Amino acid sequence: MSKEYLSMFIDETREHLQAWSDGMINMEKTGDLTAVSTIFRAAHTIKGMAMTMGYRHMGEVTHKAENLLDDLRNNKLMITTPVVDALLHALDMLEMLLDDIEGTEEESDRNIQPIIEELTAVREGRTFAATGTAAVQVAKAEVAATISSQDTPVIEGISDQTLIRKIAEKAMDEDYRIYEIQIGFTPDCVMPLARFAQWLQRIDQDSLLFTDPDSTTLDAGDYKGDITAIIAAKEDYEVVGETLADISEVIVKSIQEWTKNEGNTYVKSSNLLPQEGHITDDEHVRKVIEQALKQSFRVYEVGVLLAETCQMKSARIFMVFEAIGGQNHLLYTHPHVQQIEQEQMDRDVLFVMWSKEDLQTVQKAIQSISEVDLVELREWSKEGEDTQRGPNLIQKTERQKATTTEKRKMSTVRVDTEKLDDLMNLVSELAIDKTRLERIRTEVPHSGLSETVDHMSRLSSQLQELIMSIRMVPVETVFNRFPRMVRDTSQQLGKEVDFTIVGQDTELDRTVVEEIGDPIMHMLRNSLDHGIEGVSERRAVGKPENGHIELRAYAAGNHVFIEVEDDGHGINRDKVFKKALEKGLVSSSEHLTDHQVYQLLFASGFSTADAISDLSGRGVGLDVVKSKIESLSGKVDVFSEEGKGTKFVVRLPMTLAIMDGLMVKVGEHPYLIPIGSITETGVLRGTQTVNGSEVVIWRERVVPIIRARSIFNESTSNEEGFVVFVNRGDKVVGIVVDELLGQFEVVLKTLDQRLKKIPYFAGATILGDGEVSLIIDANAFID
Amino acid sequence: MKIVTFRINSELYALPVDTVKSIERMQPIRPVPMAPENIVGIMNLRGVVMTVIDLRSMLNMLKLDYTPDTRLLVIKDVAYIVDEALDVLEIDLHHVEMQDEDHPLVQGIIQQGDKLIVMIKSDNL
Repeated sequence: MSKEYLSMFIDETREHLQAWSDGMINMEKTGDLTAVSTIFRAAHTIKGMAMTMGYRHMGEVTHKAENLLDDLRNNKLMITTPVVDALLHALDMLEMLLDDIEGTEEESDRNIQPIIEELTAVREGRTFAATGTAAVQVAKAEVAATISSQDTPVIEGISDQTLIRKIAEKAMDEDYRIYEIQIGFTPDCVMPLARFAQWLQRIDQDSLLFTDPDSTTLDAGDYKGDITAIIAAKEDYEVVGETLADISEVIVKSIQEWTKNEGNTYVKSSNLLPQEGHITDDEHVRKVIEQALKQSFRVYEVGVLLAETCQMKSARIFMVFEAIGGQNHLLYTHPHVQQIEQEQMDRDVLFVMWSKEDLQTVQKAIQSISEVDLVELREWSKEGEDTQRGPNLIQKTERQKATTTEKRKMSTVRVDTEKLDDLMNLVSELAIDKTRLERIRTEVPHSGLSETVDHMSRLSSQLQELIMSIRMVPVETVFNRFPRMVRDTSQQLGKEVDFTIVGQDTELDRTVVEEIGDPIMHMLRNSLDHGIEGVSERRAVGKPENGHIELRAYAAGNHVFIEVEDDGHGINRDKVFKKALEKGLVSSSEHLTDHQVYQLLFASGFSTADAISDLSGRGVGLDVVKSKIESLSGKVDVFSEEGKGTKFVVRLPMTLAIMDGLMVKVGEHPYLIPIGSITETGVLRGTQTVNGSEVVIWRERVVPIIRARSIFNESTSNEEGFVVFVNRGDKVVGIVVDELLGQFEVVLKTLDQRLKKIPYFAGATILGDGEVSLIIDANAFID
Repeated sequence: MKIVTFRINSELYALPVDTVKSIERMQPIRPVPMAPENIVGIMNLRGVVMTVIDLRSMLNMLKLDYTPDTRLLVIKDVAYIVDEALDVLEIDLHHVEMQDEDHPLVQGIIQQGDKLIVMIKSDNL
């Protein structure tokens, strides 16, 4: 299977699995059956795709799940927790199978049997609704039991089989009408079986008595020919036909009804579909054609199909007529020219024309009209006394033209993220050249140059903004997995939790979005585990039984905020403080504000849960959250009110790639300190030595200072200089530098693996003059 | 196989041509404090921040001042300083006399006319 299809399969299946997952949560919450249909559709599509790709395990699991969903949909089965669980387990299995496929391109040999059994088991717990097609079901069963080999076939064809005939008989006794429907597919139909299955979804599956080829062949997934189906229905053929009418790429070839004859034999009616006789059967048309041929003109029969999106159908058709030499070349059209003029037509038009041109010229002329697809082109010829039509000369591949042009209208393309990074690099390089040009302009007075540089500057900024926006993705891509996780976790904990998400459209740089999943999950678990109380406890304090957790995201300035807020019992200050004392994180004499105490939760190895649970109480978690967020140049904070709830607030830069910084000079070299970590700058004066380390008094605090020169191995020390105060939480350190060069917005570049190990640098950047500067990681100075 | 030959001191060295992305003239290099010894610093190569390593120090040779002949060989996103870049030669792999396999950098010796060329293990750079 080609790589291209594989990645398409993986992407699409993921989307459907996500829809499935969302639907499940929705369904369980609301008991809403529309969600079932959504899941059913998702399962169904996955089944079709998996079968087509030859992934049997996936196909089998989805098939079973689909059966179960179908029962739910038809109210034969109630939505109960075991049912939901079974479907979720199936979903998990499918995700694992998909992961395997993504990794190895092959379907792995996972044991799907338990899942299959679970799905079957919960389904068998169903209660039949004793109405409608259930009777057919019973009939199927009864007939199967009583069938005897002496029965002889009465109706020819596929219905020779006694079993089907017996079932049909039984159903007719129950006042059902039996239809035999022959279905074909358009040549460009990619997944005919999916189309067929789409139809099966519309009719009641139990009313389907028989298919040819049989279901085993159909389930195998690569059948492409016509399908004959026999169904039992109470409606007349038009209603049955309608179920098929708007399924695209499906052609209803015939509908026949079986009827009882005297003496209990059955006959098939003739095709009930209105048959359009071929236009050229018309005596008058034939005569006109003969006339034209006699005058040694060439006569062509042309069928065209307008694109679905075509807005001005008649105009397009008249363009076709113009292209073949004008309306007087027409011998016959269907529909009539007047009807075409009034747009009274479907997408297809058939016409017979005369011409002096050869076939290729005519074909080219018609194909040059956009939104028109030439589907049929035959030449008429005279053989002796007889005029006859030639074969259709339009190949299938040419027919697909209109469909592919339609697809091209899709407004998105997939781009390798590496290419985006490359583009980003090129654009930042352009920005550097732009700065250089701007400098040259001041040296070379030339009005033309000046204007060009101005224009280029604008373009380059726009380009940069555009690239940044392309790299942005909505947080939804990570948020959408949390409803499921919250559902599972709260069930495990025996808590009732309503979970809401706000602002999932908020956008963040792709690289940041990829990293924030885990920290958010930790915070959510923390709220579920430690925040939300059990039902009885909540009832006792007069809160609603269901706890509430909200995950929200919003943008403010150059930052995106992500908050996890619960209405649980909040943080117990004394408990945290006591625990911190035990762990030696604080001393009893320390006087801390509530807020300071809460921050202790982020200290490594801290856990206040009385019983260590399976979830977040392992003492890892919040400290991991903190370090992860900080590695993304973000900050995390916690606010709490005892009895009311807790709120985690994460602040992230909208993009990692561009940052604001203060350029400083140490010795010969420029360094950039990110603005985010700077509290204040000042002139160095009045240092003192306490316990062997240098400090200054800053805003009535004793603040240690670190000389960048000594850290960066500059041989000489400088008595004069500036102090850049950097902070993390309440810790402040002064970094002594030689010069302050000003504020710059720069593009962050990561360092080589070998240089990443140096703690003092977060990366590097290229300055306007093309020189490279290191970006300082202030955290390293604070620790 | 095609190889790029270059000079350090008076000795000739070579690398397979397909491992060398480009050969560049010397550029301003920004030193990185506390970097490993053989890393000279970082530089801007057409918008990419690239680590620069002195091949001399890797071959345990003394550091010398750069000359107009000094070149940078870009291999796997790292620029290596050499004294001079020479020719691209076509050689027969059988003519590479294999050296002690344990040597961290030297793969073998190639005899080319009256000259000896040291083939560098590009994988170990």
